[in-house]
Formats: sequence, C-alpha cells, structure tokens
Amino acid sequence: MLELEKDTIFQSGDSERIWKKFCGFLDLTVDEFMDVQKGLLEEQFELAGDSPLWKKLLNGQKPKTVEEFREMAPLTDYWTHYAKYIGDKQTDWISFKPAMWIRSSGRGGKLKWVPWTKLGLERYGDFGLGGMILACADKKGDVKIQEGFHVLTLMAPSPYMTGVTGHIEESRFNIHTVPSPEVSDKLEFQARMQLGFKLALRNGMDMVGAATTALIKLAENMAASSRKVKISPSMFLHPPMLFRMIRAFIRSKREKRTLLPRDLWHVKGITSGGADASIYRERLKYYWGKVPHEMYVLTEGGGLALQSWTKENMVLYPYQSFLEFISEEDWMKNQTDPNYVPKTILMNELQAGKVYEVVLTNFYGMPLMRYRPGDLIKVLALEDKNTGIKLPQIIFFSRADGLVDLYSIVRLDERTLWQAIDNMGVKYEDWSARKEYDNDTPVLRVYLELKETAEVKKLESMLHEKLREVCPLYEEAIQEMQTNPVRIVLLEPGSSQRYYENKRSEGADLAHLKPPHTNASDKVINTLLGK
Amino acid sequence: MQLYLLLPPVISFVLSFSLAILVALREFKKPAYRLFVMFLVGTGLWALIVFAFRTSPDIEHATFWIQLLTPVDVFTCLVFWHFSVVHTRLKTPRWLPFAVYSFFLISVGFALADKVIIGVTTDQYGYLPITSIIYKLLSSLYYIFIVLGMVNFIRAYRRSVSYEERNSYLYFIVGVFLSVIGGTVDYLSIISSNVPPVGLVGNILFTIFATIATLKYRLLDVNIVIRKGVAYLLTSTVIALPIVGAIVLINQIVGQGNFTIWMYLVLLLLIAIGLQAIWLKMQNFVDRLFFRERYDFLKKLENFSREVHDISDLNKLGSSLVTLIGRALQTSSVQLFMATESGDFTLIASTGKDIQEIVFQNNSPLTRWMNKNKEILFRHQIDVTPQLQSLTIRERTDLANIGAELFIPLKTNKDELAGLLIVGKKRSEQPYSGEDIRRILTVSNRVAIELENARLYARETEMRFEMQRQNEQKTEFLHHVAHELKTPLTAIISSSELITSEGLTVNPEQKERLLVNINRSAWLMDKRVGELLDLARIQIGTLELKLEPVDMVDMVHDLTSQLSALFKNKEQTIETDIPESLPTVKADKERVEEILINLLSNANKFSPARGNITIKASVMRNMVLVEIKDSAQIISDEDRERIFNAYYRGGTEADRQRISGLGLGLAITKSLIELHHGEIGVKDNEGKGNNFYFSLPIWGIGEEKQASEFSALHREGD
Repeated sequence: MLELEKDTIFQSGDSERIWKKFCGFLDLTVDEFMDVQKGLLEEQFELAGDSPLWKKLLNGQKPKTVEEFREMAPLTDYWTHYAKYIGDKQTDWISFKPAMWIRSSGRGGKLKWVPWTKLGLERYGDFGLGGMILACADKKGDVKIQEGFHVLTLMAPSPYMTGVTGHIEESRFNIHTVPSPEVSDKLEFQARMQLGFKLALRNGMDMVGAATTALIKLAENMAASSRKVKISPSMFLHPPMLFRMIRAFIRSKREKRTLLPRDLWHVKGITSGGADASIYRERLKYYWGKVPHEMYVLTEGGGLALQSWTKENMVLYPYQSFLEFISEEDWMKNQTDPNYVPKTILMNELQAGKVYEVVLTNFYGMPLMRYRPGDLIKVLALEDKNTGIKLPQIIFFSRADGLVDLYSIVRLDERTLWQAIDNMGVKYEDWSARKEYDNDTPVLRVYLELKETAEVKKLESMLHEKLREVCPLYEEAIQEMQTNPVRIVLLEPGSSQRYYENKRSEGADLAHLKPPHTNASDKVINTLLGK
Repeated sequence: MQLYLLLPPVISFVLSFSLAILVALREFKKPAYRLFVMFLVGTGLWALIVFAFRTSPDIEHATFWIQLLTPVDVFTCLVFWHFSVVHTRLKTPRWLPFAVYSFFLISVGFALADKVIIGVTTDQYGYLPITSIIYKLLSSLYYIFIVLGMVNFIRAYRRSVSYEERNSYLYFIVGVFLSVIGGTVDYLSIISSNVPPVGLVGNILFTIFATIATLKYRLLDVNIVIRKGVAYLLTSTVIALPIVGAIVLINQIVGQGNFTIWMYLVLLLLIAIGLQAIWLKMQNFVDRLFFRERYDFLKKLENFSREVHDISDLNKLGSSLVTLIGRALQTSSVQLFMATESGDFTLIASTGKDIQEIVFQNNSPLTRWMNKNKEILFRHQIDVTPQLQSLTIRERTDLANIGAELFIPLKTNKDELAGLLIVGKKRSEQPYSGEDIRRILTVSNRVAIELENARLYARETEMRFEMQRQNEQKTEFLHHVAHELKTPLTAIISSSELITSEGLTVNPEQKERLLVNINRSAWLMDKRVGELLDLARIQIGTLELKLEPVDMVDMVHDLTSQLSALFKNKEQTIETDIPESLPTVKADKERVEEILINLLSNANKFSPARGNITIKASVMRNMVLVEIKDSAQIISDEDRERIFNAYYRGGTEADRQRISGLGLGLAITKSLIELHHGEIGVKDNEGKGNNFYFSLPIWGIGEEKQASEFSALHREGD
C-alpha cells in the first residue's frame, strides 16, 4: 500500500487555493516557467549528482549550473545507459530507496523498470489531480473535484503508470478509483472492466479515465445491446442502480435513440490519452456527454504536458522533468547518422509550427538524465490568446519511430492516418500502416480490419482522397509523384482480436495489447494476417 | 401604530430584496450564491409578513398573516444553515440538506392545520399572536439552525489560513449573533407584553453583515468595525449627556413651549463650540481605552523612529527593529535579512531562533518572487503560488526551521528590494489580523529606507577601509620597489666601483665575478621593471595577445625539462599528468609560458625541499583545465581571497623577508588568463598543499563568440 503525504490544500476544499496549486502553472510566463525548471534542475544536481549512476554518466563530474549540465551530460536512452544499472530493479547505482518501481513495456515488449522517489510520486499525483480538475472544469478556476470523488478507471493496473496513478490519487487526495486500486491490481482487464461498470452503475461515478478506444467500445456495446436491457430482480436489491437504469431508459426513449453512457451517468470529466483522443472528441461527447481531456504521461518522466480547461492543445508541465527539445532537422540528421549528436533547445526557444523530439531529465532525485523517450511533439502556437495562457501550445505528434515516410517528402503520423481512415466513413475494427515496396516502388500499405464489406480498390482511392484532405504535405507529395501510393490489405474478421489474445497471453500491458498503428514489425503483420 | 414598529419591517423588506437582486446579478450560477439569494428572499418575505401583520385592519387579517410567518421563518433559517454548509465547504452527507428541508414541510403542515398560532390578541404594541407549544418547538428550530450555521462559520474560521477568509467568516458570526439577539427580543415580546417587538433590527444588521461578507473579499477588520462602533456610541453618549441636560435645564428655567427652534440651534452651536476640546479629549480617551495595543504600538514606533535617525550601525538598527516588531506583535521570532552585493540575503538581526547559517540566495524562487512582487507573502501562499513550487527541499526545511509565517519586503525609495523581514507565528498561535499586518507595514515602510541607508553607510565604510588598505599597500609597495631596485643597483654600483677604482688591484677572476654580478643585477632590475610595465599595460588595456593554436602537451613537457634544475636544487619531484589527446588551446604562446613559469616557480619557491609538484591537464566543457598542485603550506582563506590582487604578498612576515618579489606575479597571471577568457583560482590540494588551476579555451570552439568578445574587450581598452 502506497503511503503518501495527504495534501492539506486539497483537503481544505478551498477552490481558489486548489486551482492555484494544481492548475496555477497555466498562469506562468515563459520566463517564470524556465526559472522553475532551472531551480528544480539545480536541486536535482544535489539530489542525484552524487549517485553512482550520475557519476558514471558524467565521468565523475558534478554540474553546478544548467549550462554546465547541458554541456557535460550525454543524451541517453534506456537500453544503452540505464538497463544494466536499474533494469533489474538494482538499487546500488541510485542514491535513494525507491518508493516504487514503475514498469513500462515498449514496442519491443521488453520491460523497462524505473525507480520513483516519494517526492516524485507526490508531484506526479499533483499533476494527475491537476489533470482531473481541468478535465472537469468548464472555465478557469472551476474546481468540481473534491475528496471522495469516484473515478471509473479502465486502464492498466499497477505497477504500470496508469495503475500507480490510482494508488497515488487515493493515498494523497482520497479520490476513489472504481474498482479500487487494490482490487484492480488483481484482476484481468475484462473482469476489471465488468466490475468497474457494475460498481459505477450501483454507486455512480464522477468521472472516467480510460483509453479513448475503450470508452468508444464501451459506449458502442451499450448502444448495440440497449434493446436487450432488462430490469432484473437483483436490481431491486440496489435501488440506486434501479433508479439509474430507469432514469437512463426514460432519457433515451424521450430522445428516441439507443441507451448511451451519458444517460446513466453525468460524468464531470473524461481523462484519456493516445493519438486518437482528438479524432474521437465529438463522438465521445455524444456518447459520454463530455469531451476528453488529454494528458501526456511517461513512466520514465511522469506528467509532461496536459490540456487546459478548453480541452484543446496541451501545455507543458514545469514541475516534473527538465525539458529539452531536439529540432526535427537535428532529429532527422541523427536518424540517418547515429553518431551525430543533436543539439537541444529549451522551452523558451521553441518555435510555432515546428516538430521536436522530447528530451527529459528527472527531478526529485530520480535517475534519468537527458533521456530520449522517443516522442515527438508539435508546437502549434507560442501562447493561447483566447485563454490568456502564455505558454506554448503543443500536441503529441508521434512516436519518433512511428512516422511513415513517403518519398522523403511527407512523414505521416498516427494521428493523421487515423483521421483519414476515420473520415472514410467505413466501420472498422482496427488498422496498421507502414511503408512497403511493390517492385521497388514505395507504397503506403494499410492493413485494415473492417466490420462491414467493402471493395479494396474503392477503399484505396477513398483513403487517398481523405489523406489529401487532412495532410497538405501528402497532397504536395502526390502532386509531385502523380500516383496513389495507398494499398489496402483487408484483414480477416477477428484478426485484431487474435492479436490481442496473443499479446495478452504473453503478458503485455494494456497499452501494448493492440497492434501498433504505424511501422509494425513483420512479426506483428504476420500475426494479423494469421501466418 | 408607532413608527418605530413599522419602519424596521419596511427597511428590512426593501433591503433584503435589493440585496437579493444585487447578489443574483453578481453571481447566480454558484450554488452558495443561489442559496444566499434564497435566504435574502426569505428575510424579505419575513419582513413583508411582519409589516402586513402589524398593519392588518382587523384580527382576522392579522391571524392570516401571522400563520404564514412560521413556515417562512423556518425556511429562512434552514436555507441559511444550508448556505453556511456550502459557503464554508464543510463536508456533510449528501442527504442531510434534504432531511433538513423536511422541517419546512412539517412547519407548513402545522401552519395549515392552525396548530402553530392559536389566535391573535392586542397589546400596547398592536397585535400579539397567541402561540401553541408547537410554535415553541418550531421557533426553537430557528435557534438551532441559525446557531448551527454560526457553528459552521466558527469551524470554517478555525480551519482557514487566509486572513481575508477568516475576517469574512467573522462578519457572518457577528451577523448571526445580532440576529439571535433580535430573535430573542421578538420571542420575549410574544411571552411578555413589556418587551417591544423590535427584533427585525437584528435581521437588518444580519443581512447587511452577511451580504457584505458574501460579496466582498477584502473587508475591513471586523474587530475594528465593532470596536469603532462601540467607541463612537460611547463617545456620543457621553457628549450627548450635557446637551440633553442643558436642554432639560433651560426648558425648566424658561418654561416648556417658550423655547423656539432657533434657540435650540443656537444653544446646540454654543455647546458644540464649548465642548470641542472635551470631545477631542474624550475621543482620545476612548481610543486609548479600546485601542490600547495600537496606541502603545504607535507610541513605541514614534520613539523608535526618533531613535533610528541617530543609528548608522546596520546591526544595531536591525536589532532595534526586530525587537520592536517582536514586542509589538508578540511573535515567536523575527528575522531581518538584508541584500548583499551578490544579491543574496543574509541575516542581520533576529529574535527567537538561532538561524545564522541560513542565506536566501538571489536565484531562490522566494527572493525572485519577493523582488518581483514586493508585497507581503503569507506562509500558506507559498504552498500554492506557482512560481514558488520550485522551492527546494532545503529551502522548505529552512523556512520550517525558521517557523516563518510572514515575509515582508523592505523596499528602498527606488522600489528595490533591500531586505526581507521574516516574522514567525504569534505566541498566542492566533493568525495575524489585518491590524497586525497594517502595523508591520507601517514599521517596514518607515524603516526600510533607514536600513538601506545604514547598509550603504556600512558599505561605504568598508570601501573606505579597503581604499585605505590599498593605499597602505601601495605605500608599502613603493618602499618595496625601492628596496627591490636598490638591492641590485647597490650591487651594480659597488661591483663597478670595485672594477674601476684606482689603487685597487682586481685579478681577472675577481673581475669576471664582479661583471657577472653586475649582469645578474641588471637582469633582475629589468625583470622587475618588465613586471611593472606589464601590469601598467594590462591596467590601461594596451596589452595585446597573439592568439594561435597552442599545444599544451609540448609546452608543459618543454617547460618542466627547462626548469628541472630548479626543482633538482631543492630535491623536489615534478610529475605530469597530461593526456596526449589534449586539444590545442587558443592562446598567446609566450604569455602562457610566462603563466606556467610563474606558477611553477612559485610552487618551487613555496614547497619544501623534497616536496612534490604535479601538473595535470584535462578537458572541462570547452576549456582545457591546467592544475598545478604543490606541497607548500596551505594558503589561508583570507589570503586566497587576496592573493591575486596586485601588490599583495601573502604568507608570514618571515616569508615576505625570505622571498623576494613585488607581489605582482599572480596579479599579472590572473589578468593574462582573463584576457584569454579563462579562469584562475586556488584551492586546497586535499590537505596536502595548494592547487593553482587555470583554464584556457579550446581552439575552434565558439570561435566567433570568443573572437567578438575578445575584440569587444579590446575596443573597451582602446
């Protein structure tokens, strides 16, 4: 059981102070943001600077200033720099007793263990609570959350980051995860989902946290089976559940449509993650009554960015990790020449419209320094004039290894591809796309599992058109190449489910149960094709 | 019907509905505000019913109205309780408000069944309801829920850390208190015909207090409001007595009815003029009576202000200040931190805890915030202010150790932050009131400029002392130069006299020795003059460097072999730790040789016989770092600070006698290193001697930047 300091400000229920503490960073200027970052990094030199791991990575030197640190510290990645020192949860190389080891499984399926300090976890808890407040807020300063709040959580259990979040919010803020974190940790995903649904029906819930696709799936299932919903005698044992069902039933009938989650619950907010959140924004609002709120969280670095109360672009979070960025040009140079050491810039040097790779250094004594998680973000604007937020507005662009390159002119990211596929208007189960060669001609091969029948040629031209609509660079590339590079392979019905079952039997975490949407390996494609 | 019985319900009705509209227009979306509007509507209806009851044409109408009153009373009190729960954010079960409102439905039921008011009679004040036992039970609900509301505000008051919030809760508490008195008066008027039913005045005050507290955030300190109110009431009463007495007396003398209105006016004018002095005295007396603490404080402050004009000693002034604040506010601790040249804030004076080692650095989030905002910061604000979330663990621990509660900026008249006053908790454990804050601000505003002046005076004194010291050093230096030049000159003169003197036979061997002596002395003089010229060139900026790629590996090896004889003489060992891959530096070769020779010969001079000297070089960021570690006596901290100053010759008097030199070598070395954009310093060689280190830029890195900086430096020199 995780024991963290109770947050007295949240306990006080004072909305103004709660907002200021957990969401006040949205009022920082760029300079103030940098001051905070530099201050915390300088503290990190003291907290982690004497650890054997830092000494090893810094050749025995201890930086005094941020500039010194950026000059002397190498850019790192997990498998080259950390795996042999902390990969088996060793503590000899770090200078603290971990409050928790948190696990992540990357695309390769190899487990990454990251030790977290108590202070790091507490700060991550603050980030999570800030996210929840913003998810529920309709305007600045709007705090709807309070102690005893119930959050239906359909995410991977502890020791994955998503599961740990539940433990932290429970321990630090008395916010109840449904099902409880202790129970969740022991259940399989399906059982957890069923129990959560049942408990939410019985006791109600205030908000929901889940992957977007899970929420859509749950809503679609509910809509599909709404005619079969019957009042069972057991419901009479739980009058609130009965009342909820009757009320939802009346609502749906009054609006002459199928039963939807928003008929059952008045959720105050939805937190979700993933590239698809913006694509399903309107659909989620229709099903659940609220637009989703996105957060950018990493096992290795905690909370890095989150959306404001407008639920539009994300804003970087200053208190969790020191953030540096590699420009797209430098990142590409480094992709082609691994010996090339890319330069990093700081948040106050970001430019609107550019894509950057994220580099992070942990605060609060944790071990990772100048770590490259392999994520790309895009800066949309340097501030948001509508909300008065003076910090850069970003979106999660792609995994660094998740861009599909076409003719070296356009690199299609997961979000763009997803949007185009969704815009085709066909019902599909799942998809995966990568660049392949047909007789030395590069093509964009999309493996698509449909829920209905369709003609491949028609789908190819539809997707081609939709890509031209959503991606100006694709349009440019096509103008130049005068060809349709889209090739669709229709997968057998059940292919995605088969992949999912395979992965689950291998023990993969929730985030990696589904096939990667871009640049999947041959092994993944073969599994999807049933080979 | 008397006016004093009709006016309160009319006022209460108009006031309540006006305030309800005002609040609704301001913020109707918030649940607490909605409840408050409902409460105001309730008090308005209450007043309307009372008015209708009192002005009823007959008992039948009066009975109708009074039957309505009980449910409205109950509803208003229940809504107030509900409002208190929501407004103070206290936690209650979700079902509780619903359960509480059931009392309203019960009261409606009883009222409709005529079980509350049995009938209406009349007395000297008009209609008087005849009540049942149920009325007594329901009216007790009035007390219970109003008092429960007050309890909620008291709980919230205790829990709150914000002065403004606590003050606002106090307004509610006072309002409820007045309302309860009003309710009791009304209740007594029902059971006793001697008491007039004027309880609505309590309601009027209650609504005013509650509305102000709901709508305004920064309120006048409620204690001041009450004290002032009572003080003025007392003063007015005391002053009114002679006026009333005079009028009664004159009436009796002149006879009632013979005294016209203009006579009254003249009399009042005369009395007012005559009593003005007494009024002032009275006012002063009442102020002292009610504001004793403030009065004493102002007296102390007056004395303090008089005293500080004569104090120029910063420490003494600081000490007086913290003592004054500590006593005036009854605090556990007060600390005064003043800005130093580096921008850090160091402790000048304190009462309470001993926290000598705490320094607030200029880049700390706290000092940055205070510098920018220059307003009082409460401890509880630190936890929520976004800019202060990056306070380090150490800083947080320091603040906890200090027991800091308030941070008061001390601003100069140029609005710069000169110091920080940190005040601990009050001894009574009570939070600081608005009055306390005003006092601290009064003192800090008055004393900040005095403190800054004292600090500047202290700095001036220190600078004067430093100049004096430098002057003495220069005089000593001149003596020393004269001595250093005189010695070889004497040798030259005496040797040449010996050679040229008539009657003295000098054999060729002796002549040879004398010529060598002359030559050595001349070289020594040339060296000393050269040093002086170098220093002068550096000081006026005309020394030019010929920058080129310099291989430090070769240079170090060449120099150590050249100087090996020197080290052999003292049987010293010299080790080098220079990686072959060391990059070339961007430097003036001759000058770097000069630097190395100077440092190595110092190491040789000051290290004992059979001592060990090591030269190490490594890459540090964009620089090559060269370290010369000796086994000499460790240089004291005081000498370390001044060893690179021109004319300074460290060590003991015996050392200075033993070792010749002008005290310019290290000063020139430092200037040369700085001209190369490098750094030089000395540190302890792990307890075995001293480690003189310097850095030089690597050739090819930051070429453009360095070049531009370099030429800029030279332009300045030109």
